[in-house]
Amino acid sequence: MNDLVRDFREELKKSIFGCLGEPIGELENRFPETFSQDFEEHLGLLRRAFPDRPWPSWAAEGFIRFNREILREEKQFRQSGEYSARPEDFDRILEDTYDNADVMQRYYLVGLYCSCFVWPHHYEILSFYREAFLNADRREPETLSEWGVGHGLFSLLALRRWRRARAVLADISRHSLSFSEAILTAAGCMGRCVARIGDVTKEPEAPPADRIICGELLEHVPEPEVLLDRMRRGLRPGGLAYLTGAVNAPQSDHVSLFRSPRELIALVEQRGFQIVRQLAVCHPKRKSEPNPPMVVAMVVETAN
Amino acid sequence: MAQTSRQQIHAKVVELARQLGRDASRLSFDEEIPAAGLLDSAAIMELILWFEDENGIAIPQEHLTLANLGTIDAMSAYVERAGRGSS
Repeated sequence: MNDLVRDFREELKKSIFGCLGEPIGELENRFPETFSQDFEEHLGLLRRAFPDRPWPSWAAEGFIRFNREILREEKQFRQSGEYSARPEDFDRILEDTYDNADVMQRYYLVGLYCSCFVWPHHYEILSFYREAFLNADRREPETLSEWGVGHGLFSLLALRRWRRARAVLADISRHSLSFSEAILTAAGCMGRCVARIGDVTKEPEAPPADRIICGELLEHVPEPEVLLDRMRRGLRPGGLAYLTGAVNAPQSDHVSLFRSPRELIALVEQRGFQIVRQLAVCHPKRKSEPNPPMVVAMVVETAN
Repeated sequence: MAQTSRQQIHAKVVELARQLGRDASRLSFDEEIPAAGLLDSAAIMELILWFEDENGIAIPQEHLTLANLGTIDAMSAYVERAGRGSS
């Protein structure tokens, strides 16, 4: 195990939620040639991007708190069958979460970033993103846009893959833009990026891009159909978009509930997309549950 | 504020472990709960939420340590300190 990964895992073990780090060993066994180095590299990037944060406690505590809040929401969801937040709560969520430095900078973004590697199903999604989208057999893009850039990891991977591409990073949260800018600056990619703050479902539409990345946004917006319509117009002819949606996956800022992968896929197709590749995953330990939290990832193009 | 007894905490751990198909009846009060491998993270969260509700407390993130909450004895001591306002 590499040093940063080891230190991260040891820090988790100081908490009563030390078991949250168990998937790290499992993923190292499952992806012996890639996972450890991948996670180590991206923890290193996190550390370089935020040198003033205590290490590894900031990352570990952020990951724990992010998980803790989700587990709390899951208990509520099991009891009610509904997310705690509704579309009409979006403005409150904007104030309490996305505009709140104590949430976003302290634990939300770093917790989400670490979950891309430590949650096994999220690492599967990351692998799918690389294989099905970044390495799709298409002409290399000149422009890409990430809607809901969050921590910036997915734009980072795209910019490393497409070394001549320029990117627009869009997010409603200035804290997300700040975080992703720090990540991309540490990686030497920010020079090819422009940050754009605003609500992608409401702001004036930007020029179409060759590629759109829209991971983990559909469940956060009150009108996912509006988001998809804008995405269709925001994609150049022949372009590809990558999007994911959460299914039965409660989180305090999830407002649009998709109850099955079929529901989500049907919506995407109804709004004029053709699915090129798709993957639906859940945590391997939860496959036996009747309605486990899932992520559906899709590579799509506009339907003719 | 009512304080949960060690026996009540033990009973809750046994109940949560049973839901995972595990037997926690022999867990001793000074045995570390996470290390025992009887509860997963969701079950530990359930335990903490129950513990907060039963004792009328909200446990800050920084208190979620093994020292404070890792064993039944530690949990009992924690709520005693919380009752005295010295957690």
